Amino acid sequence: MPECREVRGLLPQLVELSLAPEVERGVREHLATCADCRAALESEEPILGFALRLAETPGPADEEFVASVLGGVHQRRGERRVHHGPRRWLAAAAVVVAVLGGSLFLRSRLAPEAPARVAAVRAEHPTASEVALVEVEGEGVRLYQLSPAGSPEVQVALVIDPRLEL
Amino acid sequence: MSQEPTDRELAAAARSGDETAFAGLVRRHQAGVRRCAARILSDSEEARDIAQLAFVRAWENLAKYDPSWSFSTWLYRIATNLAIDVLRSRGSRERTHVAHLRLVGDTVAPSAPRQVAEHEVQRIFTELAEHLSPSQRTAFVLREVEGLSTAEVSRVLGCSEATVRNHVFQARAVLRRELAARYPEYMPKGRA
Repeated sequence: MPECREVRGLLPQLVELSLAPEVERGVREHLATCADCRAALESEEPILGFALRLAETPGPADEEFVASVLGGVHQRRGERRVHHGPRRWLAAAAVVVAVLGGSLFLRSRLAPEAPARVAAVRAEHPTASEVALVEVEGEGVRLYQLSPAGSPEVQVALVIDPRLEL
Repeated sequence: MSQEPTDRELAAAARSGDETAFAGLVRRHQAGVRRCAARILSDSEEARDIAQLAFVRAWENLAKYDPSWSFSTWLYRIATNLAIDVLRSRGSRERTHVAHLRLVGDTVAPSAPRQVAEHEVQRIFTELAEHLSPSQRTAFVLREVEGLSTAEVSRVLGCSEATVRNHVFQARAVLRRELAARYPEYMPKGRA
Protein backbone atom coordinates (compact mmCIF):
# COMPACT_ATOMS: atom_id res chain seq x y z
CA MET A 1 0.00 0.00 0.00
CA PRO A 2 1.43 3.48 -0.86
CA GLU A 3 2.45 5.97 1.86
CA CYS A 4 0.67 9.27 2.57
CA ARG A 5 3.11 11.41 0.59
CA GLU A 6 2.79 9.18 -2.47
CA VAL A 7 -1.00 9.11 -2.16
CA ARG A 8 -1.21 12.90 -1.90
CA GLY A 9 0.78 13.16 -5.11
CA LEU A 10 -1.62 10.78 -6.86
CA LEU A 11 -4.86 12.48 -5.80
CA PRO A 12 -5.11 14.77 -8.88
CA GLN A 13 -4.86 11.71 -11.12
CA LEU A 14 -7.46 9.91 -9.01
CA VAL A 15 -9.80 12.86 -9.55
CA GLU A 16 -9.06 12.83 -13.28
CA LEU A 17 -9.76 9.06 -13.47
CA SER A 18 -6.34 8.56 -15.01
CA LEU A 19 -4.69 6.17 -12.55
CA ALA A 20 -3.89 2.61 -13.60
CA PRO A 21 -6.42 0.24 -11.97
CA GLU A 22 -3.87 -1.50 -9.74
CA VAL A 23 -2.42 1.85 -8.54
CA GLU A 24 -5.92 3.18 -7.89
CA ARG A 25 -6.77 0.08 -5.86
CA GLY A 26 -3.78 0.79 -3.58
CA VAL A 27 -4.72 4.47 -3.24
CA ARG A 28 -8.31 3.57 -2.37
CA GLU A 29 -7.15 1.07 0.25
CA HIS A 30 -4.99 3.76 1.79
CA LEU A 31 -7.79 6.32 1.75
CA ALA A 32 -10.11 3.88 3.50
CA THR A 33 -7.80 3.87 6.52
CA CYS A 34 -6.21 7.36 6.49
CA ALA A 35 -8.44 10.24 7.61
CA ASP A 36 -5.82 12.89 6.75
CA CYS A 37 -5.48 11.77 3.13
CA ARG A 38 -9.24 11.49 2.85
CA ALA A 39 -9.56 15.09 4.05
CA ALA A 40 -7.01 16.09 1.40
CA LEU A 41 -9.11 14.31 -1.24
CA GLU A 42 -12.28 16.01 -0.04
CA SER A 43 -10.70 19.42 -0.39
CA GLU A 44 -9.72 18.47 -3.94
CA GLU A 45 -13.08 16.90 -4.87
CA PRO A 46 -15.75 16.84 -2.12
CA ILE A 47 -17.90 14.31 -3.95
CA LEU A 48 -15.13 11.73 -3.98
CA GLY A 49 -14.83 11.98 -0.21
CA PHE A 50 -18.58 11.51 -0.06
CA ALA A 51 -18.37 8.46 -2.36
CA LEU A 52 -15.68 6.92 -0.14
CA ARG A 53 -17.94 7.29 2.87
CA LEU A 54 -20.72 5.59 0.94
CA ALA A 55 -18.36 2.76 0.02
CA GLU A 56 -17.58 2.09 3.69
CA THR A 57 -21.02 0.60 4.26
CA PRO A 58 -20.80 -3.17 3.86
CA GLY A 59 -23.43 -4.77 1.68
CA PRO A 60 -26.00 -7.07 3.27
CA ALA A 61 -25.21 -10.78 3.13
CA ASP A 62 -27.23 -13.65 4.55
CA GLU A 63 -27.98 -17.31 3.94
CA GLU A 64 -31.64 -16.53 3.56
CA PHE A 65 -30.81 -14.64 0.37
CA VAL A 66 -28.76 -17.58 -0.97
CA ALA A 67 -31.70 -19.89 -0.25
CA SER A 68 -34.13 -17.56 -2.00
CA VAL A 69 -31.90 -17.42 -5.09
CA LEU A 70 -31.67 -21.22 -5.22
CA GLY A 71 -35.44 -21.37 -4.72
CA GLY A 72 -35.80 -19.07 -7.73
CA VAL A 73 -33.50 -21.33 -9.75
CA HIS A 74 -35.60 -24.38 -8.86
CA GLN A 75 -38.78 -22.54 -9.75
CA ARG A 76 -37.40 -21.58 -13.17
CA ARG A 77 -36.28 -25.15 -13.74
CA GLY A 78 -39.80 -26.37 -12.98
CA GLU A 79 -41.30 -23.79 -15.33
CA ARG A 80 -38.92 -24.88 -18.06
CA ARG A 81 -40.00 -28.50 -17.64
CA VAL A 82 -43.63 -27.52 -17.98
CA HIS A 83 -43.06 -25.18 -20.92
CA HIS A 84 -40.35 -26.94 -22.86
CA GLY A 85 -40.62 -30.58 -21.86
CA PRO A 86 -43.99 -31.40 -23.41
CA ARG A 87 -43.03 -29.52 -26.59
CA ARG A 88 -40.09 -31.87 -27.04
CA TRP A 89 -42.26 -34.88 -26.35
CA LEU A 90 -44.94 -33.61 -28.64
CA ALA A 91 -42.44 -33.14 -31.46
CA ALA A 92 -41.12 -36.67 -30.98
CA ALA A 93 -44.61 -38.07 -30.62
CA ALA A 94 -45.79 -36.23 -33.73
CA VAL A 95 -43.11 -38.01 -35.74
CA VAL A 96 -44.13 -41.36 -34.24
CA VAL A 97 -47.78 -40.68 -34.97
CA ALA A 98 -47.04 -39.65 -38.53
CA VAL A 99 -45.01 -42.80 -39.19
CA LEU A 100 -47.48 -45.03 -37.40
CA GLY A 101 -50.51 -43.47 -39.02
CA GLY A 102 -48.91 -43.59 -42.43
CA SER A 103 -47.98 -47.23 -42.11
CA LEU A 104 -51.45 -48.16 -40.86
CA PHE A 105 -53.00 -46.31 -43.74
CA LEU A 106 -50.77 -48.01 -46.29
CA ARG A 107 -51.34 -51.41 -44.74
CA SER A 108 -55.07 -50.98 -44.84
CA ARG A 109 -54.88 -50.02 -48.50
CA LEU A 110 -52.47 -52.75 -49.54
CA ALA A 111 -53.79 -55.57 -47.38
CA PRO A 112 -57.16 -54.63 -45.94
CA GLU A 113 -57.78 -58.03 -44.41
CA ALA A 114 -54.45 -58.21 -42.55
CA PRO A 115 -54.72 -57.47 -38.82
CA ALA A 116 -52.76 -54.51 -37.54
CA ARG A 117 -49.48 -55.63 -36.10
CA VAL A 118 -48.93 -52.59 -33.98
CA ALA A 119 -48.40 -53.27 -30.31
CA ALA A 120 -51.81 -51.91 -29.59
CA VAL A 121 -54.17 -52.65 -26.80
CA ARG A 122 -57.86 -52.17 -27.28
CA ALA A 123 -59.39 -49.95 -24.71
CA GLU A 124 -61.50 -51.80 -22.22
CA HIS A 125 -64.48 -49.57 -22.81
CA PRO A 126 -64.47 -48.48 -26.42
CA THR A 127 -67.03 -45.85 -27.31
CA ALA A 128 -68.41 -45.06 -30.72
CA SER A 129 -64.87 -44.66 -31.94
CA GLU A 130 -62.25 -47.34 -31.83
CA VAL A 131 -59.44 -46.47 -29.50
CA ALA A 132 -55.95 -47.87 -29.75
CA LEU A 133 -53.46 -47.38 -27.01
CA VAL A 134 -49.76 -47.53 -27.86
CA GLU A 135 -47.06 -47.33 -25.25
CA VAL A 136 -43.82 -45.90 -26.54
CA GLU A 137 -41.23 -47.68 -24.49
CA GLY A 138 -38.51 -45.56 -23.00
CA GLU A 139 -40.26 -42.35 -24.03
CA GLY A 140 -42.74 -42.16 -21.17
CA VAL A 141 -45.70 -41.27 -23.38
CA ARG A 142 -48.83 -43.01 -24.61
CA LEU A 143 -50.50 -42.47 -27.94
CA TYR A 144 -54.25 -42.78 -28.20
CA GLN A 145 -55.54 -43.18 -31.72
CA LEU A 146 -59.24 -42.60 -32.30
CA SER A 147 -60.89 -43.53 -35.53
CA PRO A 148 -64.50 -44.01 -36.61
CA ALA A 149 -65.68 -47.60 -36.25
CA GLY A 150 -64.96 -49.58 -39.37
CA SER A 151 -62.51 -47.11 -40.78
CA PRO A 152 -58.84 -48.07 -40.75
CA GLU A 153 -57.73 -44.49 -41.19
CA VAL A 154 -56.43 -42.69 -38.16
CA GLN A 155 -58.49 -39.58 -37.54
CA VAL A 156 -57.19 -38.26 -34.25
CA ALA A 157 -54.06 -38.99 -32.25
CA LEU A 158 -53.61 -37.94 -28.64
CA VAL A 159 -50.24 -37.94 -26.96
CA ILE A 160 -50.52 -38.23 -23.20
CA ASP A 161 -47.90 -38.23 -20.51
CA PRO A 162 -49.03 -41.13 -18.26
CA ARG A 163 -48.26 -39.05 -15.19
CA LEU A 164 -50.90 -36.55 -16.24
CA GLU A 165 -53.60 -39.14 -16.81
CA LEU A 166 -56.52 -39.18 -14.42
CA MET B 1 -4.19 -26.54 2.50
CA SER B 2 -7.07 -26.40 0.04
CA GLN B 3 -7.31 -23.26 -2.06
CA GLU B 4 -10.60 -21.45 -2.59
CA PRO B 5 -11.94 -22.08 -6.10
CA THR B 6 -11.88 -19.06 -8.37
CA ASP B 7 -15.04 -17.49 -9.75
CA ARG B 8 -14.31 -18.97 -13.16
CA GLU B 9 -13.93 -22.45 -11.68
CA LEU B 10 -17.18 -22.11 -9.77
CA ALA B 11 -18.92 -20.75 -12.87
CA ALA B 12 -17.68 -23.68 -14.95
CA ALA B 13 -18.97 -26.15 -12.34
CA ALA B 14 -22.28 -24.30 -12.07
CA ARG B 15 -22.62 -24.36 -15.85
CA SER B 16 -22.58 -28.14 -15.72
CA GLY B 17 -25.41 -28.07 -13.19
CA ASP B 18 -23.54 -27.93 -9.87
CA GLU B 19 -25.87 -25.92 -7.62
CA THR B 20 -23.41 -25.96 -4.72
CA ALA B 21 -20.86 -24.18 -6.89
CA PHE B 22 -23.48 -21.63 -7.89
CA ALA B 23 -24.45 -21.12 -4.24
CA GLY B 24 -20.76 -20.37 -3.63
CA LEU B 25 -20.86 -17.63 -6.25
CA VAL B 26 -24.01 -16.18 -4.71
CA ARG B 27 -22.41 -16.13 -1.24
CA ARG B 28 -19.29 -14.49 -2.62
CA HIS B 29 -21.01 -11.74 -4.61
CA GLN B 30 -24.34 -11.10 -2.92
CA ALA B 31 -23.10 -8.26 -0.71
CA GLY B 32 -21.57 -6.31 -3.61
CA VAL B 33 -24.48 -6.83 -5.96
CA ARG B 34 -27.11 -6.00 -3.35
CA ARG B 35 -25.21 -2.92 -2.18
CA CYS B 36 -24.69 -1.71 -5.74
CA ALA B 37 -28.36 -2.23 -6.62
CA ALA B 38 -29.37 -0.44 -3.42
CA ARG B 39 -27.19 2.55 -4.33
CA ILE B 40 -28.68 2.75 -7.80
CA LEU B 41 -32.26 2.21 -6.70
CA SER B 42 -32.14 3.86 -3.28
CA ASP B 43 -34.37 1.09 -1.99
CA SER B 44 -32.93 -1.90 -0.18
CA GLU B 45 -36.02 -4.10 -0.58
CA GLU B 46 -36.25 -3.47 -4.30
CA ALA B 47 -32.49 -3.97 -4.52
CA ARG B 48 -32.83 -7.36 -2.87
CA ASP B 49 -35.42 -8.43 -5.44
CA ILE B 50 -33.31 -7.13 -8.31
CA ALA B 51 -30.20 -8.88 -6.97
CA GLN B 52 -32.13 -12.14 -6.62
CA LEU B 53 -33.43 -11.84 -10.17
CA ALA B 54 -29.92 -11.02 -11.40
CA PHE B 55 -28.52 -14.21 -9.87
CA VAL B 56 -31.34 -16.33 -11.30
CA ARG B 57 -30.75 -14.75 -14.74
CA ALA B 58 -27.05 -15.46 -14.35
CA TRP B 59 -27.82 -19.12 -13.62
CA GLU B 60 -30.08 -19.33 -16.65
CA ASN B 61 -27.45 -17.77 -18.89
CA LEU B 62 -24.31 -19.47 -17.60
CA ALA B 63 -23.90 -21.11 -20.99
CA LYS B 64 -23.45 -17.62 -22.48
CA TYR B 65 -20.91 -16.50 -19.88
CA ASP B 66 -17.61 -15.64 -21.53
CA PRO B 67 -14.78 -16.56 -19.11
CA SER B 68 -12.60 -13.80 -20.59
CA TRP B 69 -14.84 -11.47 -18.54
CA SER B 70 -14.52 -11.36 -14.79
CA PHE B 71 -17.58 -13.11 -13.34
CA SER B 72 -18.35 -10.12 -11.11
CA THR B 73 -18.33 -7.73 -14.08
CA TRP B 74 -20.75 -9.99 -15.94
CA LEU B 75 -22.95 -10.20 -12.85
CA TYR B 76 -22.87 -6.42 -12.32
CA ARG B 77 -23.91 -6.01 -15.94
CA ILE B 78 -26.99 -8.18 -15.44
CA ALA B 79 -27.88 -6.50 -12.14
CA THR B 80 -27.34 -2.92 -13.30
CA ASN B 81 -29.33 -3.47 -16.48
CA LEU B 82 -32.24 -4.69 -14.37
CA ALA B 83 -31.81 -1.79 -11.95
CA ILE B 84 -31.69 0.75 -14.78
CA ASP B 85 -34.90 -0.72 -16.21
CA VAL B 86 -36.55 -0.23 -12.82
CA LEU B 87 -35.21 3.33 -12.55
CA ARG B 88 -36.51 4.23 -15.98
CA SER B 89 -39.93 2.78 -15.24
CA ARG B 90 -40.26 4.66 -11.98
CA GLY B 91 -40.79 8.11 -13.40
CA SER B 92 -42.39 10.49 -10.98
CA ARG B 93 -42.73 7.89 -8.21
CA GLU B 94 -39.09 8.65 -7.35
CA ARG B 95 -39.80 12.07 -5.86
CA THR B 96 -42.42 10.76 -3.47
CA HIS B 97 -40.13 7.91 -2.46
CA VAL B 98 -37.18 10.19 -1.70
CA ALA B 99 -39.36 12.52 0.33
CA HIS B 100 -40.45 9.51 2.36
CA LEU B 101 -36.86 8.40 2.90
CA ARG B 102 -35.97 11.84 4.14
CA LEU B 103 -38.74 11.68 6.74
CA VAL B 104 -37.56 8.25 7.88
CA GLY B 105 -33.98 9.49 8.08
CA ASP B 106 -35.00 12.41 10.23
CA THR B 107 -36.62 10.18 12.83
CA VAL B 108 -33.78 7.69 13.39
CA ALA B 109 -32.94 7.42 17.08
CA PRO B 110 -29.43 8.70 17.90
CA SER B 111 -28.54 5.58 19.89
CA ALA B 112 -26.20 4.10 17.26
CA PRO B 113 -23.91 6.88 16.00
CA ARG B 114 -22.16 4.85 13.29
CA GLN B 115 -25.43 3.54 11.89
CA VAL B 116 -26.86 7.03 11.95
CA ALA B 117 -23.81 8.38 10.13
CA GLU B 118 -24.05 5.68 7.46
CA HIS B 119 -27.75 6.20 7.14
CA GLU B 120 -27.23 9.93 6.85
CA VAL B 121 -24.70 9.59 4.04
CA GLN B 122 -26.96 7.15 2.20
CA ARG B 123 -29.97 9.37 2.72
CA ILE B 124 -28.17 12.43 1.39
CA PHE B 125 -26.90 10.49 -1.61
CA THR B 126 -30.42 9.25 -2.30
CA GLU B 127 -31.67 12.80 -2.28
CA LEU B 128 -28.88 14.21 -4.44
CA ALA B 129 -28.90 11.31 -6.90
CA GLU B 130 -32.47 12.17 -7.77
CA HIS B 131 -30.96 14.77 -10.10
CA LEU B 132 -28.88 12.25 -12.04
CA SER B 133 -29.90 10.36 -15.14
CA PRO B 134 -29.96 6.55 -14.76
CA SER B 135 -26.71 6.28 -16.75
CA GLN B 136 -24.92 8.97 -14.72
CA ARG B 137 -26.13 7.45 -11.48
CA THR B 138 -25.06 3.93 -12.42
CA ALA B 139 -21.68 5.02 -13.76
CA PHE B 140 -21.01 7.04 -10.59
CA VAL B 141 -22.00 4.19 -8.26
CA LEU B 142 -19.95 1.59 -10.12
CA ARG B 143 -16.88 3.78 -10.67
CA GLU B 144 -16.67 5.92 -7.55
CA VAL B 145 -18.48 3.94 -4.88
CA GLU B 146 -17.90 0.31 -5.89
CA GLY B 147 -14.42 1.11 -7.20
CA LEU B 148 -14.67 -0.70 -10.56
CA SER B 149 -12.16 0.45 -13.16
CA THR B 150 -13.29 2.61 -16.07
CA ALA B 151 -12.79 -0.35 -18.41
CA GLU B 152 -14.95 -2.59 -16.22
CA VAL B 153 -17.71 0.01 -16.02
CA SER B 154 -17.65 0.40 -19.80
CA ARG B 155 -18.17 -3.35 -20.12
CA VAL B 156 -20.96 -3.32 -17.56
CA LEU B 157 -22.77 -0.43 -19.25
CA GLY B 158 -21.93 -1.51 -22.78
CA CYS B 159 -20.46 1.86 -23.75
CA SER B 160 -17.01 3.34 -24.41
CA GLU B 161 -14.59 4.34 -21.66
CA ALA B 162 -14.86 7.96 -22.83
CA THR B 163 -18.62 7.80 -22.29
CA VAL B 164 -18.12 6.36 -18.81
CA ARG B 165 -15.75 9.21 -17.90
CA ASN B 166 -18.23 11.68 -19.29
CA HIS B 167 -21.09 10.23 -17.20
CA VAL B 168 -18.92 10.23 -14.06
CA PHE B 169 -17.73 13.83 -14.50
CA GLN B 170 -21.27 15.03 -15.17
CA ALA B 171 -22.55 13.10 -12.15
CA ARG B 172 -19.88 14.62 -9.94
CA ALA B 173 -20.73 18.14 -11.14
CA VAL B 174 -24.45 17.66 -10.42
CA LEU B 175 -23.81 16.08 -7.02
CA ARG B 176 -21.31 18.79 -6.08
CA ARG B 177 -23.78 21.53 -7.02
CA GLU B 178 -26.63 19.91 -5.10
CA LEU B 179 -24.48 19.11 -2.06
CA ALA B 180 -23.30 22.73 -1.87
CA ALA B 181 -26.86 24.02 -2.21
CA ARG B 182 -28.56 21.65 0.23
CA TYR B 183 -25.88 20.51 2.64
CA PRO B 184 -23.13 23.15 2.70
CA GLU B 185 -21.95 21.72 6.03
CA TYR B 186 -20.65 18.69 4.08
CA MET B 187 -18.54 20.88 1.79
CA PRO B 188 -14.92 21.63 2.71
CA LYS B 189 -14.33 25.16 3.99
CA GLY B 190 -14.07 27.64 1.15
CA ARG B 191 -15.99 25.34 -1.29
CA ALA B 192 -19.54 25.81 -0.02
